[in-house]
Amino acid sequence: MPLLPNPAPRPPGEVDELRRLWAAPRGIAFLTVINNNYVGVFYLGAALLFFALAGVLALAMRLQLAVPANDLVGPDLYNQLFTMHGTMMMFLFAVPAVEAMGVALLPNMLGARDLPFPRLSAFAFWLYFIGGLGFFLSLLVGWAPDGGWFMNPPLTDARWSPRVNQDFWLLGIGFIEISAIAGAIEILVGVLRTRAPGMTLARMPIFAWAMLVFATMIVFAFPAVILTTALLELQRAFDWPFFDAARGGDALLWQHLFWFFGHPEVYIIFLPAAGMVSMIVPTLARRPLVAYRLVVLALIATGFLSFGLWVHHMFATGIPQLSLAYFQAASTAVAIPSGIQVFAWIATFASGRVQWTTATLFVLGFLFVFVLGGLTGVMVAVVPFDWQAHDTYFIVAHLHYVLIGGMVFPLLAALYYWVPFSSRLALSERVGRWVFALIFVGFNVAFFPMHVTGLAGMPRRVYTYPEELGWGALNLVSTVGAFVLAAGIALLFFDVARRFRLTLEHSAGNLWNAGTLEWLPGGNYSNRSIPIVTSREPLWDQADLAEHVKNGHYYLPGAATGGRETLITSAFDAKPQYVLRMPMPGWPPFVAAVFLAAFFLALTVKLYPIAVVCAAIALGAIVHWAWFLDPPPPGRPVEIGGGIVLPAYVHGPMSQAWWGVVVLLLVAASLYGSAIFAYLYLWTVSPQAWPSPDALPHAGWPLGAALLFAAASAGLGAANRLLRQGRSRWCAAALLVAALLLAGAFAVELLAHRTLEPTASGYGAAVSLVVVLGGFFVVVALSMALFVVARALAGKLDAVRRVTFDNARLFAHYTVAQSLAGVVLVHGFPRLVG
Amino acid sequence: MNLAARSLRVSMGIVVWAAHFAAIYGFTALGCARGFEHLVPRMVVGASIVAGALLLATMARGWIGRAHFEHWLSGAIAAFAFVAVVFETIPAWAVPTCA
Repeated sequence: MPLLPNPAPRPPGEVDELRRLWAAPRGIAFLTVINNNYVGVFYLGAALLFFALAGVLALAMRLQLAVPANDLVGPDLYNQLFTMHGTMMMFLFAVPAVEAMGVALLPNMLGARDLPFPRLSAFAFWLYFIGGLGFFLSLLVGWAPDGGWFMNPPLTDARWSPRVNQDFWLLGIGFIEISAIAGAIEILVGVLRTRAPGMTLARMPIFAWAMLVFATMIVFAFPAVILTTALLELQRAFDWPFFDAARGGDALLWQHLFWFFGHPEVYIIFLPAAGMVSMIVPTLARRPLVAYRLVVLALIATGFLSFGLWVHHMFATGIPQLSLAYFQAASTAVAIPSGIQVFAWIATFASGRVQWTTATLFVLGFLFVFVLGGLTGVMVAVVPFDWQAHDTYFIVAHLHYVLIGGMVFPLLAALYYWVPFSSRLALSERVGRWVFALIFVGFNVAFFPMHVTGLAGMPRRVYTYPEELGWGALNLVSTVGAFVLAAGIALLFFDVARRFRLTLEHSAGNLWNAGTLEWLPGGNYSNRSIPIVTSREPLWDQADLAEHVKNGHYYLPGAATGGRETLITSAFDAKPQYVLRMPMPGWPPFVAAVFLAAFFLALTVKLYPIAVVCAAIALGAIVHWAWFLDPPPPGRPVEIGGGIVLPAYVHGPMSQAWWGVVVLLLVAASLYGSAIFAYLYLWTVSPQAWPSPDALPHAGWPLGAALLFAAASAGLGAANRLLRQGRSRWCAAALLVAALLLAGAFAVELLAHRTLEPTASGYGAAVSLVVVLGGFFVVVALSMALFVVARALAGKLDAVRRVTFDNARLFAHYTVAQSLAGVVLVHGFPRLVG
Repeated sequence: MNLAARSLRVSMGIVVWAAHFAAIYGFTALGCARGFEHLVPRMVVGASIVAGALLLATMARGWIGRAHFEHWLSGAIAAFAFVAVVFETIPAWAVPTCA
C-alpha cells in the first residue's frame, strides 16, 4: 500500500465543495440534520437533560428521607419518584449517553466521513428524545409508573395496578429500546466497515472495541426486555396469563426475561465508559496503553460473561441452589476481566508522565469509586450474603458505586477530555477542579453511609421510617451529600453552557496531544482525506499525518461521486472495498420519529383515533424514506488515489445494507429466542397445562404449513434467479407468489389453532405468542415484497440495482426459517414430551 | 478463509461457553422440575468435559498462531471461557442440586 496515495497538490475548490456538501441545513430545516457529529451532540445533550431531571427526582427523595416520619412526599408520589428516577437514569440517560459518545466520536476516530446509516441515527435520536420527554411528562399529571424500575408482576399486572401508570413504562420503554437498537446497528456496522485503510482489528482504538462489544450486547440483550414488556402488556390489555400462576403462568418468567436484559445492561453502560477511560489514560500518561491485547480480551470476556449473571438478581426467589451456584460462580468470574482493565490503567499511569487535568481527576475518582463498587459486587455475588443484604440500602449503595463510579465519572472525564474536539473552547480547568471536588466528596458522603444504613436493616423503596430505628443520622448525612453532589453537577452544567460552542472546523483541537484519529483537523466532512493507518496511535507514530490528511494527500480527498460519501473497508483487515454514497439531510426520518413517538404515547393513553392517524403519517414517512434508499448506480467506478479504483455501488454480502439487515435479523432471532424460552419455561413450571398429543391439531396442519413455507423459500430462490437474468418484472411476479405462499402458510398455522383460547392457560398464551409473533414477521415480509414489486413496476429494479430486493429476500428467508422453527415447537414439542 | 469462518473462529470460545452454560442451567432446571436430579451432576460434568475439550483445542490453535492478533484473540477468548466453565462446574460437586 503506498504511503501517500495522492502526493500531488490538490485542485483549488475541493475543500469548499466538501464544506458545501456536508454543511448542516439552516433555519427550521436544521431539524433534519443527519451528520453524526451533530446527532451525537444532540444525543448527549438530551441524555444530560434527562440526567438532570432524574437527579431532581433523587433530590426530592433525599429530602423526604432526610428525617424520620417526614411527610413532605406521600407514598404514592414517592413510588413514582423512585420508579421514574431508576427508569430515566438507566433508559433515558445512561444507555443514550454512551451511545451518543459512540455516534459523536466514532466517525472521526475510525477515519470515516460518517457512519453508514446517518438517517437511522437521526431517527433513533428523535424517537428517543420525544418519547422520553412524553414519558417524563407523565409524572406531572400523576400517571407516571410506580412499580419500580424493574416492574415486577404481579404488582404491575392489571389486577394490582389497574391505572395507566404501568402502561407508560411498558409502551414507553419498549419503543425507546427500539431506538437503542437502531443506534446499535449503526455502531456495529460502522465499526466493522468504515475504518480507515490499514486500521486492522489489532490497530482499532479501544473505544471502538468497546462500542463493538456494546452494540453486540444490545443486539442480544434488548430484545428480551422488548418481548417481556409486550407479554405484560398483553396480559394487562387482553388477559393472556403469562405471569398468572393460577392459570399456568409464572411471575418469575418476567424476572428471567427482564434480568436477561437487565444484567448485561449494567455492562452495556460500563464497557463504553471503560473504553473511554482506555482512550483517555494513555493520552494523559503520554504513553500507549499497557496490555492492549488483554484489555480487548477483557472487554469481550465481560461482554459474554455478563449474559450468565442474570439470576444473581434473583437469589431470593427460591431457585434451586445448584442453579444459584452457577450464577454465583459466573458473578465472581466477571471480576477477572474488570481487574485486568483496572490494572492496565494503573500500570499505564504508573509508567507514564501524567498530565494533571480535570479529566485525570475524574479517571482517578472513577478508579476509587468503581473498585469499591466492584468489591461490594463480589460480596453480593455470594448467595448467603445476598440473602442478608437483598432489597436493603446496601444494594442501593452498591449499585450507585458501580453505576456512578463505572459510568458517570468516566463520562465526566470524557466530557472534559473531548469537548475540545467539537467545541471552540475547552471547559474551564479551574472550574473543573471545583466540579470534581464537589462531585467526588458529595457522592461519597451521599452513598457510603448507605452501606451502613442497609446493614442496619433499612429496606429499599420505603418512603419513610420511624425515629426509633436509628437510621435518621445516616440518612441526613446522605441527603447533605446528595445536595453537594448536585451542586457539582450544576456547576458543570453552568460551565458547559458558558463554554461549549459546537464547531468541528474551528474546534479547540488536540490540547492533550492525543494519538488517535479523532484529533485530526477537519470539519463537518470529518477528515479532508482518509488516512492509511499503520499504528494504534497514528498521530504519535506517523510523521506529518495531520498535515498530509489536511492537504488531501490520502484517499478520497474530494467529493469523487459529487455527493456525500465514505470509504467502506473489509471487516477484519480494513482493505478498501467500495465508496459508499451517503444520503443528504431530509425530513422523512424526523417526521417518522415524531409521529411514531406520538403513536406510542397516544396508544398508551388510549387515544386510538389519534394513534391511527400518527401511525399512518409515520408509515408514510418511512415508505418515502425507503423509496430513495437505493439510488441508481453511477456510470463509472471511482478513483480514490494511489491507483485504486473502487465501485460506488455494490449489492449482496459486501454491501453495508446487507450487513444492516443481518444485524437486524440477529435482533429478530434474539426476540424469537426469548419467545421460545417463555414457551419452554412455562412448560417447565406448569406441564399440566400442556395438552396430550391427541388433543393437538391434526398433524396435517403443521405439515401443510411447513410445505407452504418451504415453497415460499423456493419462490424466493426463483425470483433471485430471474433478477440475475435481468427479468425484473418476472422476478417481481415470483416474489409476489412467494409472499402469497408465506401468507398462506401463516393462514394455515392460524387455522390450526382456531380453537385455542389464549386467556385460558399459560399454554394457550405461549402458543398464541409464538403464532402471533410469527404473523408479525410474515406481515413485514409481505410489505417488503410489495414494496419491491412497486419498485420493479417503477423501473427501479434490475440485475445490478437490486439492494431492496436482496434485503426483502433475506428477511423473507429468515421469516421462513423462524416460522418452521415455530411450527416444530408448537406442534412437535408437545408430541415429543406428551 | 471467508468472513463467516473467520468470525466463527474468533468467537468459538463464546459459542462453546454459551452452549455449556445453557446446557447446565437447562439440565438443572429440568432435573429439579421433573425429578431426575440424581442425573444432574453427571450431566453437568459430561457437558463440561465436552466444552473443556473444545476450548482446549481452540486455545491450542490460537497459541500456535499467536503472533497474529486474530489467532491470539481466538485462543485468549477460549482460555477465559475455559476458566469460566471450570468455575461454573465446581458447584456440581459442592452444592446440593435442588435444595
